[in-house]
Amino acid sequence: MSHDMIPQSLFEACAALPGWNKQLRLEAWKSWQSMAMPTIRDEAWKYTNIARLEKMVFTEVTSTPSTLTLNDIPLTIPENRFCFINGVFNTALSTDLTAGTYLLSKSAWPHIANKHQTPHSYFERLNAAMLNDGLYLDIKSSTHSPIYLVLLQDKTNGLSQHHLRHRIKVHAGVKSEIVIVDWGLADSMNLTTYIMDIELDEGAELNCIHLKKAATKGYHIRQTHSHLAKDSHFNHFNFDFGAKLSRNEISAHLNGEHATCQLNGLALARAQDHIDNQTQIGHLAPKTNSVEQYRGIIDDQACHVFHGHVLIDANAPDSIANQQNKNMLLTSTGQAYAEPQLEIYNQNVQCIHGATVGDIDEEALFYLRSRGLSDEIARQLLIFGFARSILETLADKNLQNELALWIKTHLAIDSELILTAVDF
Amino acid sequence: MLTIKNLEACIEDKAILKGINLNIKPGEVHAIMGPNGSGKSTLANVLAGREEYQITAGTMHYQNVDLAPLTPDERAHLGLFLSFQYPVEIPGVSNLYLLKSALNAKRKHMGLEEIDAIDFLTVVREKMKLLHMDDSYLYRDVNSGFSGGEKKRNEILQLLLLEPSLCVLDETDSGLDIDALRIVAQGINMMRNEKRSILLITHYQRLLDYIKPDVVHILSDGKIVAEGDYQLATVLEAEGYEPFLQKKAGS
Ligand SMILES: Nc1ncnc2c1ncn2[C@@H]1O[C@H](COP(=O)(O)OP(=O)(O)O)[C@@H](O)[C@H]1O
Ligand SMILES: [Mg+2]
Repeated sequence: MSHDMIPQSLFEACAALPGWNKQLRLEAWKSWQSMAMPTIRDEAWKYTNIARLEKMVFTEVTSTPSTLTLNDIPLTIPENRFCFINGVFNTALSTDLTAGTYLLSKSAWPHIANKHQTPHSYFERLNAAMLNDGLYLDIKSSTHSPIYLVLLQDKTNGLSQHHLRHRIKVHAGVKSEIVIVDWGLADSMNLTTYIMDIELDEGAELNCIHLKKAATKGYHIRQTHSHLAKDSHFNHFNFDFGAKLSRNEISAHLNGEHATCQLNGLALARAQDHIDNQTQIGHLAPKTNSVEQYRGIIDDQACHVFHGHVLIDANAPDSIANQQNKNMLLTSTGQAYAEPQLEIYNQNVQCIHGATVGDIDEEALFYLRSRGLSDEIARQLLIFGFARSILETLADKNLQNELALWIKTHLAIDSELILTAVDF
Repeated sequence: MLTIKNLEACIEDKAILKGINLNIKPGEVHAIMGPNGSGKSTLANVLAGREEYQITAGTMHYQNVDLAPLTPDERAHLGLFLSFQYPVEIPGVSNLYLLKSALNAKRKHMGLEEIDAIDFLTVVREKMKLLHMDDSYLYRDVNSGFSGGEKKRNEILQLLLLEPSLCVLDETDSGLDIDALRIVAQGINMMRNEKRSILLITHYQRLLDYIKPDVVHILSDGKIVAEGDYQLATVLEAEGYEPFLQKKAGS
């Protein structure tokens, strides 16, 4: 078992940073060292091989000052934002929202630590040991919604690593929206763990939109865990533009009656990208409802893994779960693995699921061409149309439009193709 | 002018068209009738350029241009339009977008500029009114979740908008109730002029009561077994296909 990827000296440098709880770090560090790195023999990592990580040695603690600005992201980032550069909070780029409800860094630590006294998975343990920074959002009103959380990654000389953990609490009856932008600028080699714990009190509603464009050679591991009280609603949108390895573990625990969640995702994998989406939904109370739509567009030699676990507890009668996963393979060398996993312990529920992997629909292609569209345009239209079905589930039309542009650029689709509903 | 000579086509080594001869002059309306599986849709698809079908013999010329080497979009630019028996559902692509890009593709081929967005809406709404279609059709995804009748209407909308010179209508009447049939037939009749050729593929005489063809062909097992004027459709309606098929067997 090798844990050389994070040298002891790096941990010690990290542990020496003032203000954070050294004892918790040390415990996490030991528990991380006692655990073997997951391999393809582990069910949850069956299609995602991270063995190469073990051969790397990450040396940089926190990076040198960066000259990055928000203009480096091709997206309008409005006020009410918290920006982190290379894993560390950046005051200059952020809006001053710290008064009262938003706690940062050291003052957030007790709230964040509270949530991970016993870090569980391999990367969660590493995150607890090496944490750079974090944020505690205690959302008591909709005043600042939407809140943007921006994570920028710069090019670094060595192999760098960043570890963030946020905690978000939405109070009873409050509606809010959070947009998380993960933007890796360069093709630098880095390892990022990014964990988010979300709690929704009774009747709360949170839209959480996650845009991730990690560095092309980056290993980016994200976990988003949500706990939903009675009558609360959690809508999570996961737009992933790929990385060397991009892993998203998303869980929703529907703990209270009538809680609902929507987990939607779009994976755009190209070149050698590997995107691994692992979702877990627990129906733990009666009359809970989940809707899940994940799509992948896979080009070149890229790969998309989707594993969707749905548990319906014996204690969750009259619940409804609907899961759909569709993949479009643009080449014969791309790969898609679609794995629904249903565990149902109550017969009085409705559970629908479907998973498909296919090429571009030849009939649709012929139909469009018979209307005078060229092969190229017709293909682009079908590819974009496939993505659009997920894009359209976003309520915010401006964001939809900006993302449409990202998607077109990413897929090398003619930007003249005017396709979103708001264009008309 | 469409000229088809001794056309044979197969799919996956199965011969379907077994020597079709057909001449349609500008301004003429021809009907092709025939039992299920006789090859009507195959003929329509081969004309439109569907690549799954292989042409094993014969020729197809439209306006003296050999169609065989042309792609489906090149054939569309030449003025050919196929109204599909089963219009394809395309989720994620709005009907409006399809209509607009199809029209602009045609304009581009004619050396015209792209149509202005407002002008486009004016034109398309005018056509939709003729077909009793409301605005919501524009914003729905192409044929997605449309009923059978709505899909057929949507085909005719494209036809009215693109104003092709050769219209191939594959069972446009199936799935339409009597009111919708009348509306769709009116739309097709409006398109009728001395320059345009129309090939109606149908099962029943019903549509031909509204759109009177100049020539009726009966297709059976990949061959045209009988030809005549409108009266032939009436005979067919009264006696069924059986006598024609026997005639073929006897010949
Ligand atoms: N894609 C296909 N693959 C295999 N056989 C086909 C295909 N399309 C048509 N056929 C066969 O060709 C014959 C003619 O079909 P079609 O042209 O659809 O007939 P029609 O339109 O007259 O009902 C039928 O026997 C049908 O089964
Ligand atoms: Mg047919």
